[in-house]
Amino acid sequence: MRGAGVHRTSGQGGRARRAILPGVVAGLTLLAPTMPVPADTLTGYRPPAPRTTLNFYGSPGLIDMPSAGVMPDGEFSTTLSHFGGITRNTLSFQITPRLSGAFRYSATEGLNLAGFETYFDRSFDIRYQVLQQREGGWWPSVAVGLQDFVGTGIYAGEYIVASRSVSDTLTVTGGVGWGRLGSYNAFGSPFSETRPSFVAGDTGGEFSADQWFRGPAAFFGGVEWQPTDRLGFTVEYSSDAYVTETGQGVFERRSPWNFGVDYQVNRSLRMGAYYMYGSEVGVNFAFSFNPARPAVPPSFEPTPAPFAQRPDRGEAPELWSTDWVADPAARPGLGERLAEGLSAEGQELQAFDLGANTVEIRIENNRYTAVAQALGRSARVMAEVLPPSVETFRITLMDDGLPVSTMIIRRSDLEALEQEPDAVGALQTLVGLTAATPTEEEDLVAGLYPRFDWSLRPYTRASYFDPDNPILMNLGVRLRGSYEFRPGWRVDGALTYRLVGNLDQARVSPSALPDVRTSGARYEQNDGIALETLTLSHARPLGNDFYGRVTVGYLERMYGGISAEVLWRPVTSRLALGAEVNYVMQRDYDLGLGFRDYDVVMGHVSAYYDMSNGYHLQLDVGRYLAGDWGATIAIDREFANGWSVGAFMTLTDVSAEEFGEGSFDKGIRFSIPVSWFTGQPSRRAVGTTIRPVTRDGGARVHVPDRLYDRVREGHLGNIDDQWARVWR
Amino acid sequence: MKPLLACLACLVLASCGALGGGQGDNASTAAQALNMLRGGLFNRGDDAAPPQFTATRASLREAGITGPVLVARIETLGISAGLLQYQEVRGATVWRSLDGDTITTAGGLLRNTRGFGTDLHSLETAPLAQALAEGGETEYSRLFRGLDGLSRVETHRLYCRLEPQTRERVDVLGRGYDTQRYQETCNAQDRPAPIFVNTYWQGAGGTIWQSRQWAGPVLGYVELEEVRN
Repeated sequence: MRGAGVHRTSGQGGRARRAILPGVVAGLTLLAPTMPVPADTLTGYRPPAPRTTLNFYGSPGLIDMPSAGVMPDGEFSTTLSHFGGITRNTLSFQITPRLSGAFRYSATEGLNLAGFETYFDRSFDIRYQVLQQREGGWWPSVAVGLQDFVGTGIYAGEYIVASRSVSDTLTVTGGVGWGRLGSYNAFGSPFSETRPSFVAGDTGGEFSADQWFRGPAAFFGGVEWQPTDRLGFTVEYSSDAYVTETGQGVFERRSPWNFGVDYQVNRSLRMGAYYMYGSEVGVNFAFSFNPARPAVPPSFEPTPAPFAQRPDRGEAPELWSTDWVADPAARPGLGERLAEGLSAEGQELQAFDLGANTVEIRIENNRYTAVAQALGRSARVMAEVLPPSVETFRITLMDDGLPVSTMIIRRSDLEALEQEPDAVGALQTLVGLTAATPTEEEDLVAGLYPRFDWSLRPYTRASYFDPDNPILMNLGVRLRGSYEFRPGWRVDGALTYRLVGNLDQARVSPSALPDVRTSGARYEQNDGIALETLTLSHARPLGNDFYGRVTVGYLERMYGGISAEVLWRPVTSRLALGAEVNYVMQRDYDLGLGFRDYDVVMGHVSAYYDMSNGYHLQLDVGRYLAGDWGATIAIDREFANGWSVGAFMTLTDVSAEEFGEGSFDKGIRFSIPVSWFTGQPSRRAVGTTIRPVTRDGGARVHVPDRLYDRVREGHLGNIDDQWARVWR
Repeated sequence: MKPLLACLACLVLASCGALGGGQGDNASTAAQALNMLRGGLFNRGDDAAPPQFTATRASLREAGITGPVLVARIETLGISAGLLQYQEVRGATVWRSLDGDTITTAGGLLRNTRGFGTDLHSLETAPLAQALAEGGETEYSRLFRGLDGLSRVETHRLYCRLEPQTRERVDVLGRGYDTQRYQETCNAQDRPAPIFVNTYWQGAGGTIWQSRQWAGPVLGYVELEEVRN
């Protein structure tokens, strides 16, 4: 994963409410100066910062060596470390309580490999804590880790490490390392003598299982002393000889001993200063976030009024009359009041059907991250407005005109339960959820269609990891417009105008495949008005838990054509199946209306599975943009408040040599709801997709508004995860 | 159409009527009374010291407030306010401040709060009500439900003991009541210290005229007084 090549991330997501802010990692630190620690719900006790500290590789560790600790579950950290001309920027995530992963971008000044003055490198780590020290127990914690494990990387190394807290303030760590971590003072080669050596300029990127735990092994270790919750001192013995770096004169390694002091500034920031390898001063900044530790707790959002109670039927039977249904003024009058009340809750009324005992409303949720909260607030509005004879509320969730699901709920249950101690659980057993039917023409809110909407906002586009310019960025304005002539039938378009930026300096690297993505930089040469997208689309439920979508036009910056998709997902199902077929043509570099002479029929069959504990799996099998056949597997962890962190990889029939640097397509992605920062309800989120390298194998076209995420949102698994917000 | 909802509206209308009636003295008294009732719940972020509940029975009457009022003092926030009876639902009473925040009690026992920041999500009251009805020293359990950092409900069982203490005369806004004082201590499993120790002053007929009740780990203790005219 090194050497020449165009290195770009592609911001995915196109949906308006999933606004993408590249460079969010840096932004996080500015937005969140101090963060509350997740408190015990019963006592309010807030644990001090975790005892485990992050090392120069962004992994739980001492200084340059790993330890056996783990970060709190879900902890999302970014570290920036520097010593002796080596800078490492690492994004790490505690995937499960014991499994963690990291992605790193590092720069070594003066390491003249493959013709670069500063050597940039990307690497992935994964580690698992096999044993955890128990309170009062004898056994230490033990972790096994693979560093830079895809490719014969410059940081490749494996380790088994044990850490034991011997008192409240003192932790002793010792381990055995291989690869880079077995390069100093090795005691032998316990498993195998031979280990492929690091080759600069190799395509890398393949899982290098043939080298794991092979070759010489060496001991490392150290002691951490944390006399207070905030202050720590560390001494370590490093088993890394820095052979390549010292050979090139990057720095001089005079000693295996490293010393440091670190300080927890607040719950998110820990910083340290170090004296390393007998010659260098080093610094390390670690920023940590956790989905369960919101920057501003949601408890400060406005609370709703108590649920409106109907008058007693025995005392005022006349108020319970159903005569109102026959009144021609009822529909316009109640419709207006419903629309007004819903609008105050950020819900748009699109259609409604009034019956004497049952009323259905169709709403688009423009405010709440949690669908359950949108449903709860809407039910409150219905109770305020609708005559007492209406007993059954049906609330259909719409997504850009596509009906997704209908929640059925009895008004008397809502009235009775709100003040009950178990209001959340009790209501959950009483609501029904069904697949939504298509919207009836006569139910539409009068005068709502056709409708036109537009926005003019600034945008940024960025590219990372270009060997000449690690970050390239454009800043400009984007004009979006949409025209919806019937529910679910729409025209969407976006024009951009670049104001400043240097993305046009991105490299175009050669490729053995059709240049379906490596030509991306050519599309950045245009500095005038660019047509980003212009599509005509239609999405609708097809019945029997099937949904369909067709999109025609300029689908994304690089491709235009036609895309058709079918999705099957029952509302209560954890499993969904889908198929998508696209015929696309590569667009002209000037981002005008023209096309180049490359076209392809591509598509996938997909299986989606909600593992019900926050983990989501997706498998796509089919044909990719360069005509290659293969499969993509993705796993995401989604938290109840909307945080999501995931990784994906694609293997196709393109060989590693044909693919080029990186050997196959892979990346990580994350999305953080804006409400997590502000404590105020919002549907917006920030996040990005990071690919270490963008090449032509395993590439897909970015079709806007794919069905799965739209449909899943209104379905049972997702609603259940956030159900506690239904009364909020 | 909605008599329960109308309660607050009546109060507001009553005061508005007074204000709009051109009776200068009455108008200013009513406005003052409402201000005294308002308290400081909703002035978070305001640098001025939070206003306190300062109304008297006379000023409440002048403002046209004849229904029950719950006076709440929240120690951690340093505020006090009067809340008006807003709804009765299945034995629970919802008390609402003029700014829309609510406290729900059942037989005077605190069940939840809404709008005070990190609220009391819910605390079961039925086992305690039963124990108070029996009157003697009793042990029972109550369920506490709170929301975690991801807004999921977390349920904890509390093991409680209710002890009758002395008989005391309490003063609620200038009116005295003879009461039996009770102390309730609740513990949770694996936690050495009690989660809370509440005090209730129960009058004849079972009315809790005054109490000091725990409203969750963040709000802490709330002092409640029930004012009836």
